[in-house]
Amino acid sequence: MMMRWLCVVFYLCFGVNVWAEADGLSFSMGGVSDLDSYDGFLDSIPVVVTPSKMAQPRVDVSSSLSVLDGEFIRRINMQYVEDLLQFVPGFSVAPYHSSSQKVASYHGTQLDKYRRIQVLVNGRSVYSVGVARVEWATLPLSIEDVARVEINRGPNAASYGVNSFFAVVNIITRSPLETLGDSISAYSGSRGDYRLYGQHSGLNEDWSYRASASTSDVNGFDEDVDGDKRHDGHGSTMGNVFIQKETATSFFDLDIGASSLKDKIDPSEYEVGSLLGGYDTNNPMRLIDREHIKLSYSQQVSSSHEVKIQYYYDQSDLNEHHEVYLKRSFYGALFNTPTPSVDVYDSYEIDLLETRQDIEVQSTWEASDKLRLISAIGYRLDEADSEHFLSGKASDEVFRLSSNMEYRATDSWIFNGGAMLEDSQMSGAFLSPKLGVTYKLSEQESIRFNTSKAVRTPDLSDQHFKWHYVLSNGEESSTVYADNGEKEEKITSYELGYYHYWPGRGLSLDVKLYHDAVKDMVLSKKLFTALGPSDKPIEEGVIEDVDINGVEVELDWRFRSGAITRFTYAYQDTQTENTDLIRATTPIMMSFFGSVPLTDKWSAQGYYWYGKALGGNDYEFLNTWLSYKLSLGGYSKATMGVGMETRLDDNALVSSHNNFTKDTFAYVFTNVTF
Amino acid sequence: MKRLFLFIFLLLASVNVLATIYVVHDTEESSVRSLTFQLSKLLPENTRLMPVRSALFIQNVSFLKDDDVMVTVGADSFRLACSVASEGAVIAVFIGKEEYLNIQPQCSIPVSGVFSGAPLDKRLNILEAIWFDRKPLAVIYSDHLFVDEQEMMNLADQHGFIFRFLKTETDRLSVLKSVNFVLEDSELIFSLVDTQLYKNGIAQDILRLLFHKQKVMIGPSFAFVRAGSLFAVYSDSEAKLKALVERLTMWDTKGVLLEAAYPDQLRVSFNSYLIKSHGVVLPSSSYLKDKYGLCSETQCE
Repeated sequence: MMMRWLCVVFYLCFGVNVWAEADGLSFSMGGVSDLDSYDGFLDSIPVVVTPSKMAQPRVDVSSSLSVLDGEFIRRINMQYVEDLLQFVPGFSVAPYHSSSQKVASYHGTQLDKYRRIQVLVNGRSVYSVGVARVEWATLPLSIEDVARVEINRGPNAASYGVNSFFAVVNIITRSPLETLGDSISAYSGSRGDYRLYGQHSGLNEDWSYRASASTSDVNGFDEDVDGDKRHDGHGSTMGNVFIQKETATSFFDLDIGASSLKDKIDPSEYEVGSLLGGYDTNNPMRLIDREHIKLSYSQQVSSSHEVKIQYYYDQSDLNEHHEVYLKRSFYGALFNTPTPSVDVYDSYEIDLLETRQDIEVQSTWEASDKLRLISAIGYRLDEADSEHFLSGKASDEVFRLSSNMEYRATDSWIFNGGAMLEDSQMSGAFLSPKLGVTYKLSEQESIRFNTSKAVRTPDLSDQHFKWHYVLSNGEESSTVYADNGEKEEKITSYELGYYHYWPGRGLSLDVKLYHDAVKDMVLSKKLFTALGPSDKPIEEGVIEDVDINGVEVELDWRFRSGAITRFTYAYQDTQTENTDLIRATTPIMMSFFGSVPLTDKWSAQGYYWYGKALGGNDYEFLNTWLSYKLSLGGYSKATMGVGMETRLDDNALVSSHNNFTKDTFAYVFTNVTF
Repeated sequence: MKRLFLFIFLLLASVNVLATIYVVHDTEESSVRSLTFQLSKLLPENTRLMPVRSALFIQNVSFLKDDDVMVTVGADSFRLACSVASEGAVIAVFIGKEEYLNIQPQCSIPVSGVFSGAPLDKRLNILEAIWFDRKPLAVIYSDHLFVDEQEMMNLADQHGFIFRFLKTETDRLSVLKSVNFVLEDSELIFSLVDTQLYKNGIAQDILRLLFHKQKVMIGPSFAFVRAGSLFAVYSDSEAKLKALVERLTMWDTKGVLLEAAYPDQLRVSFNSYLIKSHGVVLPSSSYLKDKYGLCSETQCE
């Protein structure tokens, strides 16, 4: 009895204690919702994982966008990132001077050094401004590390600044979380091309990392227009380390990359008028070392506001060594010396060191359910150092300020607008606005209209050319120099588009009609003409206004069976009488990719590409391959395959000097993930 | 505090008093206190409720009597109670059906449970209505679940889907590798309530990885939806407690232990960001209620 009494007393005491605490916590029935977190084991999960990124649904976008996603990239089995762009309407990818110097162009207009698209890798511009171009072969970037490529088909300087002229290519690499473990890939072709890739990714608490490296060799073109053997082909080695720390409210990443390119180039010939004045006696190599480091940190300061700071440094160091034979008369004229008694054997270097530093602070703010704002302030310093091209150094500083907004007026009407103000020390101030409106017919279907303005500023060479040759014996030629420099090119673009996604069929269709009005397109030819005692100005100010109209279609179909089909078509009407421009634009381009699983393990793939009058000649090829996938147990698996590519035309590729002796080649590939 | 619990436990167990409901748990004291408090309000006044930590429970399991009931919170507590108790009955709460089915055979005493999450059929109904991609649905689960893959496949087939299963180790690296592995052929992870798989922040990692891969998960609870799952069908604590009380009352009054089941009242929540970004068209709240018996967030208030 005593025991029972004690029990009741203690229980009451305890019970009162519990009730008191519960009252103090003001628990209503909903108070037990604390245990809902137990239900999901997730009480500490941040609400911000998804909403912090302010990506837009495709159907809401006002400008024309192509997305090459991870599944497509893995399936298409390309070896180089730039080649993916062939499957974007209006894009062509082809080398011009040498096999290493691929030109990925949109709307054409230039075949050798393409400079009218902006290319970013994880938000870092890889557009070189010493001599404006995108040097794809030197990018420390392996296609296996790429998560997706988003291509804004149209000017978007309001978001990405000057030189986002015809298009913006944004390459986004995979998070190390996506590549955990190890993988190796190998590719070998019957032309002698090969490529090896390996990566290791790991994690430690909130940190994850990937270290990847690849080496490749491309045999290059075999013959020039005269049937003479070409000195072409290149090999490259690259490495990349990507480290990220991702927490509930912050994201930090460090991206370090380095590459080394060894590029065989044809020996140069030096002419006076039509007379040969000399030539290279060696087989020159173009050596480029490129490195970058990028640091980025973003912090969620509230559920609707994120601040990001990013800094990167990029350096590219080019060097060519030419050993030359020069006829004595040519030597005298070029180096402004008394004509020597014998012909001269000597050497000279071509050098170009380009560096870029860029820092940006960006604020992403969801002001309300209807209004989102992204604003940024940034500073960029471009420097180039070249004795050959510049007789020294040149630099440019750019300050920029931008703001872009998305406003959802109603469920159906979305307005996208913004502008960027840039002040370049070299070229002046520019304002690049854009305005777009999307009318959603449903959650999967929309009509859009977009208008935007952008500029392409001259590169450092255009404005600071002091181009001369310096022999190893110390003799210096006269100089070709920039006098007034070039003015900026301007574009005003109007787009009308329709997008429809049929989720039940996995089918998406995008159609774009556009009119681009380009003012003051620079067509000056940068040739060395200073043969004689005096310096000469380089050709400048040759400009032309060009209107481009066209239509583009993109169709992407993902079947339940796992099959994928992608089709693109682009028609372009370039209104100009300039034969060089016409030659450098392609009125019709078409691509088709298909991948069909035959069984659980076997699949057949193929793609076809056609470009009408690309560089004056039709370009058409077909690539097909068969692949076999097998599981190696656990999370390990392997893919291997064999394929063949053949040219369907008998033409040189873009340049008359770009010829292969055989139109067809075979290849094998394998990939192991473990 | 531990000594106090021990003392009370010994007192309750050693005297010949009315049956006791032990709430066996390994969760935070404040949470279990509020659970006990709410439960006490729904049960007769003379019902004796005793929250007790698993470690303490195991030390004193010999004092259990035939009519005692152990309400276990979570899979670990249920596993522990089943492994040691030879008297009384066990009712598991905050546990997934597949977790329950995996542990149940270890029990030598009557067991029941209130499942977290929602019946597969209901979840597939919703998915069928909003998700038109018919690629296989990936199911990753740990060794701590009993999954009848064939039954799930049959059910999925009725809704026009296919499941692709992968059993994984539960360390962080293995789980994330599994996600990468299965998502090569899938766009969506169809999750099950799996305590071992999602513990220690692994759930957050999975959702982050899915975000990077631009793929989605059907979550097992509302917390997953808040964190980045496309949607979840689930019961709230009120519904779970109601189902628990029903079982306790039947056991107490009629000596009958109702079968383990999901609560009757289920809710559905959608992640508005993901719904928007994937262009998903949601059924109306009234449609969800009438057709599937689910209340969406606004209608549940």
